[in-house]
Amino acid sequence: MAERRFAGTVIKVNDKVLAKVTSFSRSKDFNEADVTGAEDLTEGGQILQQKFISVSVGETVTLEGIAISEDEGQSELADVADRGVEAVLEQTGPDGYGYKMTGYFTSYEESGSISEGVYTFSATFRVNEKEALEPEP
Amino acid sequence: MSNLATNEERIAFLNEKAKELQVKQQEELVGDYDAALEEYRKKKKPHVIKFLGRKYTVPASAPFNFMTFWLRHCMKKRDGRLIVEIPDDRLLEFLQLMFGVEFVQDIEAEGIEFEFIWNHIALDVLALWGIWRQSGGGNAEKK
Repeated sequence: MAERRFAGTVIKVNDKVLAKVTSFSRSKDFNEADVTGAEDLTEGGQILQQKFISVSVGETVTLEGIAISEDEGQSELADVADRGVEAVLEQTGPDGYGYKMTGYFTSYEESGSISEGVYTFSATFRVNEKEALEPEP
Repeated sequence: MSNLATNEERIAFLNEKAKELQVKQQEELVGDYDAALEEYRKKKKPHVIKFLGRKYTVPASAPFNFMTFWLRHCMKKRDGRLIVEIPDDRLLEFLQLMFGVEFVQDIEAEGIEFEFIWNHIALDVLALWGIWRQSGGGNAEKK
């Protein structure tokens, strides 16, 4: 899926905002199963026409952003990634619609402090649950 | 950042830092040649010409406005050969662009012939700038 930029995408852990996402790209992987039966012969032939069904889908998000540096000099987000703690990605567009994705980091790289109080990071995030967000009335 | 107690404060802080990052990234995309120009000027010191008891400076390489003038008005192709021809009505402009206004005022005041300036100084400067070197047959001329 093409990379898109969002006005307000944040990462939360235990409902606390830890980082802002500046670049975001989602991709889906599908797994399939072979369900070819003995009766699935090619028309007029003696060989089997293979048939598959989709059995599972997985979603990952590749993202870049800035994370708040805590008083100890390390970002809490790096700690979350290190420990495999569940995090929530709240992705909202300018219209207020979006998704709340729950999952964990499968890779995380922090590239240093660009300015006092923040680190830049790039990561991939495995989505386990996804919930639609609607604009607040 | 212990002073960021609420999520609103944390989001506002992150938005501010994201803007800083954006500005920084845009600055990195700008090609800054000022330092290169300064270094170039330090290396290429102007040449000094002593004439009429005075000293005049000539740039180490052809200035931009001289080059555009030269290519536009002085370089001609004749019978498949490239020749230099300075139009009469642009002589003054040619000299001013090459030597500066002060030099032209001085040679006018002293009544120096153009031929002397061309053969003894201008051709040397053109050769110094690497844009024209008179061949043995002499294919540069004033028209």
